[in-house]
Amino acid sequence: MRSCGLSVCLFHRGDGCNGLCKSKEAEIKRINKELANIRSKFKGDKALDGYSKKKYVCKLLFIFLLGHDIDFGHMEAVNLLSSNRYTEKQIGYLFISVLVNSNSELIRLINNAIKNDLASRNPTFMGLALHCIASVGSREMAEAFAGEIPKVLVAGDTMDSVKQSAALCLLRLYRTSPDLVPMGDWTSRVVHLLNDQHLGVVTAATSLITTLAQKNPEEFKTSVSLAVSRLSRIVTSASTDLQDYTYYFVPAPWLSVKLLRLLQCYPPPEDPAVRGRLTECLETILNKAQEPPKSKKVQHSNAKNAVLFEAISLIIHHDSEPNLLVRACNQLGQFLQHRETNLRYLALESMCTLASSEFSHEAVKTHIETVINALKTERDVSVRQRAVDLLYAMCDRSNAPQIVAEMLSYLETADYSIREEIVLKVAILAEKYAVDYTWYVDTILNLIRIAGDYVSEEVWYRVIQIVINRDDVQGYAAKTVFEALQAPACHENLVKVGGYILGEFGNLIAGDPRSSPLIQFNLLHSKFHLCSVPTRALLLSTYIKFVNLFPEVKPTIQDVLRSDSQLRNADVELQQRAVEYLRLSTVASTDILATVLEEMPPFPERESSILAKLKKKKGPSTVTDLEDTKRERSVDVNGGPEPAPASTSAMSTPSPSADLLGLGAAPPAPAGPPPSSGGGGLLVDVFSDSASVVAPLAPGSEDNFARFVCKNNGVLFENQLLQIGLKSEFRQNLGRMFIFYGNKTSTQFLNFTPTLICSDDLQPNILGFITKPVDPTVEGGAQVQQVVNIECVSDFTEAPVLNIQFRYGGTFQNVSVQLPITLNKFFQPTEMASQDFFQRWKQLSNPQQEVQNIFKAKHPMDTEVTKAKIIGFGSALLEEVDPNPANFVGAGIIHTKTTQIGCLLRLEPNLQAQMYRLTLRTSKEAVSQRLCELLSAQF
Amino acid sequence: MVNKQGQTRLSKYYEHVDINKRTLLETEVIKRCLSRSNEQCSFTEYKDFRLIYRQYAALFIVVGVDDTETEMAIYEFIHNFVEVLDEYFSRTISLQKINN
Repeated sequence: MRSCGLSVCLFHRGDGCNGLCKSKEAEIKRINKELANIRSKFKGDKALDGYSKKKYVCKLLFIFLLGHDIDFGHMEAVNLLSSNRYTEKQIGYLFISVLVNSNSELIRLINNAIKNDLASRNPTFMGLALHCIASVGSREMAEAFAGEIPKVLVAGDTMDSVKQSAALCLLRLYRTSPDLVPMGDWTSRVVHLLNDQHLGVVTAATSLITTLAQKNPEEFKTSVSLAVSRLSRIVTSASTDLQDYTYYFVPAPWLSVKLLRLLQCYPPPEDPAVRGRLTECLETILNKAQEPPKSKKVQHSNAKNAVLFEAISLIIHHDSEPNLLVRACNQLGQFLQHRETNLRYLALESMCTLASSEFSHEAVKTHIETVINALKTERDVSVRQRAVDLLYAMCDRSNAPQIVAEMLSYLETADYSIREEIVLKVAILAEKYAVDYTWYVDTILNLIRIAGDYVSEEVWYRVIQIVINRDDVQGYAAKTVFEALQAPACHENLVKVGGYILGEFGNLIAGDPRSSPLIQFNLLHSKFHLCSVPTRALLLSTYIKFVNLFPEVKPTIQDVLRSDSQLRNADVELQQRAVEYLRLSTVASTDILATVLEEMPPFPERESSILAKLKKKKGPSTVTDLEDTKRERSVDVNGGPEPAPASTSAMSTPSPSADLLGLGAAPPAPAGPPPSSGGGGLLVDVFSDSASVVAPLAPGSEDNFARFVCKNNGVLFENQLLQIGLKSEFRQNLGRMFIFYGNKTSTQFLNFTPTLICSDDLQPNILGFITKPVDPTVEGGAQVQQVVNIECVSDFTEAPVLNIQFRYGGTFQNVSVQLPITLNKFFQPTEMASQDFFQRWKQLSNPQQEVQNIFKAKHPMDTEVTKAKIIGFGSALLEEVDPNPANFVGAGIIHTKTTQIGCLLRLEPNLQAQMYRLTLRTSKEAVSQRLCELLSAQF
Repeated sequence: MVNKQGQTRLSKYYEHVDINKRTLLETEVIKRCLSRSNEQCSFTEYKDFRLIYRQYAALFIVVGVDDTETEMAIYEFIHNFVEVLDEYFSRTISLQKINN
């Protein structure tokens, strides 16, 4: 059981049961006896004196802590609270803190007692009350006292020790119920506690302010300069100045750490004086690390290093002083070779974040040999793991081959717990920094060889995606997997990759008699029986691909497919594949086979699924690389909840019956790519994301998009196959858009599926619905129409994307265009007189409300055209408002579902300079910004 | 505060944790720390927490913190705490802690 700060000697009388009875039964017996005794004392006629009450309440508490239930005595404990003796009051509070329940009757009494103590001006009692509030820390406590404590905290006559307790108590309440702690004028006075004489108060206040500042940065902004000056005083003080707060010759180490933490809630100070002072502090801390230690004791260096590490995190957080960053890096470099494991560990960890700063990336790279050495020689797995993280973070094109090679060789002996992560990291680095894709293929195959069990699906999907998308590496890949497969024992993942790649590109190496079609087939088939069902399914698909690639092995493969172990396999998926493939190979002509089994189309470019997996595994904190964070945004787009449903299902294996029937009919026009690309489940896996990936925006679509800002009808997109026309109308916050798809060819489009995609950012702000799907077949020369209903919920900047996928003459087409749904479409023009206009203009004079852009004219500066554009933009064009007749002013209201936003605009042309100045004022910054962008692009 | 046999001697929570869950949490945390050798560093991770621990003879002191704390500062703080205990109770030993 837990022990507590409670003395057992209360059970002193006689029988020696010191809470450590010999048997459980004896203990229970003894406890029950004592409980009965206490109960009778409490119920007795004689009023108990304070001492006895305290004694029995204390016993009850001890019994509770031994693990027994207590169902009485609460009232007596509450009575103790109002005692004037410290010892009695203390036991009362202790009991309440441990055993409080939401018994409403008691809570009222307890709160009352606490309130009295808080108001008592007796520092000891106030302290007890504050400790009790903090240990209970419930919402009820916060409701009762969150308003009271700030007053105690900032009152001029409060004792230092009480101030400390009050600050920490408030912190506790704020953590549990931030909504109940009211911000007010006390906040500025709390900030000034950083200047307090008493360092204990400063320490407590710093903790409180740090937490408060994270949620209310504006309110506590002034703490920055105070924290800097306090820090500066500590750092420069002589080692004995601070008396009690000097720890082994280090002045106030924990307070320094806290102040440095607080500063990390804010960007670098703007005031040059404060900034200079802070830089000085940080330099001093770095200098001290180089000075000879004032004491040989380990406590001295530990405390000093604690401050140093926190200073380095602040330097990294600010990421603005190249000089400091490089010094920090050098300091950490020294620690990398320190004999203390703890320091090596922390140095590796800090350096990892340092590697992502552009100023220090190069400096970090100079330590590569040390880090690699750490990987080889460290005896602690957690340190080695940090070394792997750091290698990953410091990797770039220049050192990728070295780092990847080192990680691979470490992988052979790495601890099981971190292998998968290393595999993912190697796979990502190999891909990201591959100059030569043969190197990439080699690396991944090595990865599978060394740590096959830890290579997740994502890793081998990715290598296949890359090989398929890059034809320069396909022959090499085929040759390499073929060679790798010859190893007597190879990992199943290698069989998967090998099967897939040879199925696609086996023909590229078939010319060599050592890897003739039959040899390839026999090699793969020799692994077949050792593999799991999904791999076998994949291999069956490889076989049917071979039938197409190498007609000479067709009879052999048909024999295999025909064997009972395939045709009557207990596994439905395998059986179905065998039956279908056998039938396909017998019935279909070579042309049809060639169409059905044609090479896989390239995969759309997208974020590596491996990176996504690593992030999922470790959280974004370890994937600190700058590039990764940039990519992170695209994950949302690709992984978002927008998989075009129609195309996903079309691309996965059709349902069994449809498939079977389809084979009887003439050309089995498979939906999407041929059904021969992988295991059933795997197929879906490989495609489920890729189907949701839209093609990059069609070239020229940006220009087209801009043309639609001021008009509603016209041609949005046109290529040799397809024309997309638009007609749209908008009223208030609603809109309707007619989209016309014209097939410009004389051949049908098949599986024609347009999808509307709103990114996650856009999603909540704009809603678009396609009212009715179009017919999946568009005849040659025909035009089909589709209606999209649009609702603007609140202001937005991006535009939805229209993705169209279809098949034309056997090739898969994928087109994406931005739909010109822009914020200004929801304009309602407003007419007003000159006086009104300027009055409102002045009302919107807050700097955030105004956005101005000065730009060069891209089109001839024609007054009539400009007027037409402003009207087309949606606002009213106000004549005779601006004193200068050459200027244009407009006004209107943007209607969204949630609000209406008034907008005023003014365009001032300068004919000599061929420039415009555009000023927008609206009540919302983002709206001003967006409208200004949109309109500026029009002139 | 835990002894070498893995029994909790003293525990303090700064967030509410259900009493039943505490035992489980403590067992796991202790297992993690006890399984580490002297050569290993004093920091390890457990779920969302970082554990920082020091060993004093047969007694382990383990502190779990979130990522707003500095490891080194907590590490030395443990020592400071032990010094304070020493000061108050003079030559602190494990058994005394049960009683005090």
